[in-house]
Amino acid sequence: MIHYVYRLKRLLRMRQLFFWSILFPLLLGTVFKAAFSDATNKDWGFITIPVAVVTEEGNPEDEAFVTFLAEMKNGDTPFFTVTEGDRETAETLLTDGEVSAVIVTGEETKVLLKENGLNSTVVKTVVDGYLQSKDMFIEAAMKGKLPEVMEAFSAEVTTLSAKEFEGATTDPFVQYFQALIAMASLYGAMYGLMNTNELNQKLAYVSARRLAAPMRIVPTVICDVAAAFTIQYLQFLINIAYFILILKVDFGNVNGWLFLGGAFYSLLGVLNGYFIGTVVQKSDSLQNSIMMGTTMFSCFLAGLMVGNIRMAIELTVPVVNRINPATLIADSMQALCIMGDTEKFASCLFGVFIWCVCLTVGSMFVVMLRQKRAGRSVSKA
Amino acid sequence: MKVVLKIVKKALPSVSAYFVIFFGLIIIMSFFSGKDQEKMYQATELTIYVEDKEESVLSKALIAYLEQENEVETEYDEDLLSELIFTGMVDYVVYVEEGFEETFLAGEMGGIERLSIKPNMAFVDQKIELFFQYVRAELAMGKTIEEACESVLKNTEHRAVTEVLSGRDAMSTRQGYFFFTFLAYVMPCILIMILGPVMHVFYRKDIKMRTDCGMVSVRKQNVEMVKGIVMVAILVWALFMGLGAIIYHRDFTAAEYLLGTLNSFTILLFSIAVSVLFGVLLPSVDALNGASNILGLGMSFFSGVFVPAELLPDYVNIIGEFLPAGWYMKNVRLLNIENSATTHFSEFLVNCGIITAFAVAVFFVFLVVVKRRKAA
Repeated sequence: MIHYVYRLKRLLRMRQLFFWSILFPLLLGTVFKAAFSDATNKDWGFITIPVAVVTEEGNPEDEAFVTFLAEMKNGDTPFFTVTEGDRETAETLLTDGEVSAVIVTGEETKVLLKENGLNSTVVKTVVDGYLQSKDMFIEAAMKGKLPEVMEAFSAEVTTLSAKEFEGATTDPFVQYFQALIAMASLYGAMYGLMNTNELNQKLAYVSARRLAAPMRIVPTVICDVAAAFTIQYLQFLINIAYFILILKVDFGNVNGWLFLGGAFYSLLGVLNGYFIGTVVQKSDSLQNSIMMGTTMFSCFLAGLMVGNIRMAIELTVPVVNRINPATLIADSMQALCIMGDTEKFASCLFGVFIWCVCLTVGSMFVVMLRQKRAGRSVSKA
Repeated sequence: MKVVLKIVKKALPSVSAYFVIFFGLIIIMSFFSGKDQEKMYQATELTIYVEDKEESVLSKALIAYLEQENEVETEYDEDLLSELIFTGMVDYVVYVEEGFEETFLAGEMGGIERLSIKPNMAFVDQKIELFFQYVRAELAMGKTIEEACESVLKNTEHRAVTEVLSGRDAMSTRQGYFFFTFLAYVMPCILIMILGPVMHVFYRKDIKMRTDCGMVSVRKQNVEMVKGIVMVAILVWALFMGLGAIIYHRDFTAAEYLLGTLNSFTILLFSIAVSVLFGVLLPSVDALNGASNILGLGMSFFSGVFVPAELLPDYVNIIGEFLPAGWYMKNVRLLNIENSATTHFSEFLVNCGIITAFAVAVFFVFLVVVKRRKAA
């Protein structure tokens, strides 16, 4: 126990590790919150589109068209705000960005757009619909069926009914925070690295003292892992609490299972550090580069920089998502808290567990191999 | 200069790891973002999923109608679909229930459910309702359901003539655009990790005192150091530009790529200035690592590198104006619009000038820090 406590104290005193595992994710989370606070609304929100219509004065058909546009509504919000004017004025408005599109009526209806985009698509869809309806009425009139068609058109029969999304939140930007939790968890590797280095005579003087202590190596390593895990798990709790309680990020339905998951994520981070520490022994700067680089890369694939990349990978090379540690963490959080899919949560957590086992076995194997080689060279000498 | 190269050589394994990982990051980012952006911002084609339990004439006609302008998918498993909806990669979902055609022909309501978490998809509701109104109208003209559907599909091919104003033609989704975009994140990060340790070694108190005692004048020391740093920085930049040219040469004209190169050169200048400043200011290589990540990620998020500037809140865009990456991204956006960088060349140059001014300002801060340290 005393070894555990001292190790805990030693790790807690390392300011740079404290920065990476706790302060950095909090800082980045704050930046995310600042950047994404209004992004969903801006990207997906329903907005009234300003359009200019070039009409001929006194043309009843044009007037009907303008009325049609002005009366189109989604609930109480109109689809368009319509400005009427001559072509020159309308084009100036379009160039200045005052309107999203110019509709030129006449013999051939034209839509002038500043650029492609959803607003342009909406305008074009509505204008197309208007033209197609007009064609239909002309055809009906020619066939003498106008009253029947008018009646069919004006029948208030709604075919579509809305279905609710079953996820706990509809804000996709929470994905960035899930990837951030994954990054913070994988940064637990720093504690693992420090633990291995302080048992490695090549890289730290303190290791000689530790190895000379009257305690077997296995309990020492267990105490080290437990201490690193404790700090890393605390880091997970602090991050989650900060994101949910201070930044008010909607993580969905957070329940006890997430905290069990957090334990696995933290353990994975620490064991990752042990693995890198045992495999790479050339210098601590190389160890750090590999650890930081692989963590960043893994988190990038989990959506830390480009939110939807996880789904893009799922559709193209799903196997990457099944094995990438950061994706497993982020996916498990999404499955549990947002989709309520406990089966997927369990499978992701199992993936994290397998990683933990592989890293432990891998580290042990490398250590044993080194010992065997060292033994051989001693016997040769 | 030799000493700089020696220090860099010593750090080469870790630097190579960074280079490989960051370059890999750029390629993957550009690959996935290029595709994603196309769906998100061109928005001429929505991704619609249709679950057709009935497979009747009417439901098939509805699918054909939606396919006219959108990408319609009919095969996803339920769990994947939920995630695709959540991430916005599926814009709209239509569930056609069994017996829908019968309900429709009987003039009753319902039979089809829709699901979308994007409020701006309301126009698709209108589009679908309009389709059924057309079918009703055709039926009222005495046609059979098959004839009605066929007629509606033919009728809906009539579209308004569309013109996109000259110079503002389709926002391109060239992957090369993302190469230049993500360079704003990668360049400062990688240079801080390469040049920061060099400066850190040179300005360590004991080493500085020892070199000052040597035969080489301070002026010569500085000149050699600057030569070494510039050489390493240009080498890294040239490597990025060279690989970029090989991978993305199809995405740009020669003039555009040259302009992109010029733009990236200005961010290189800023990265050098920041690297040397951090190298002197920060106490350890670990701290440099932290600083590179904070600067790289923070600046990128505030400048619209990872998330388009249009989606960021106004105050974040204002912050972006005070960051060199914000101006860099303005130029990248000009590059993205065909011929825009050449037609707005003066604007492009002004932006480059502003980034260079940022670099000069940071470099002056570095000189002040060095001078103060010397005085102390």
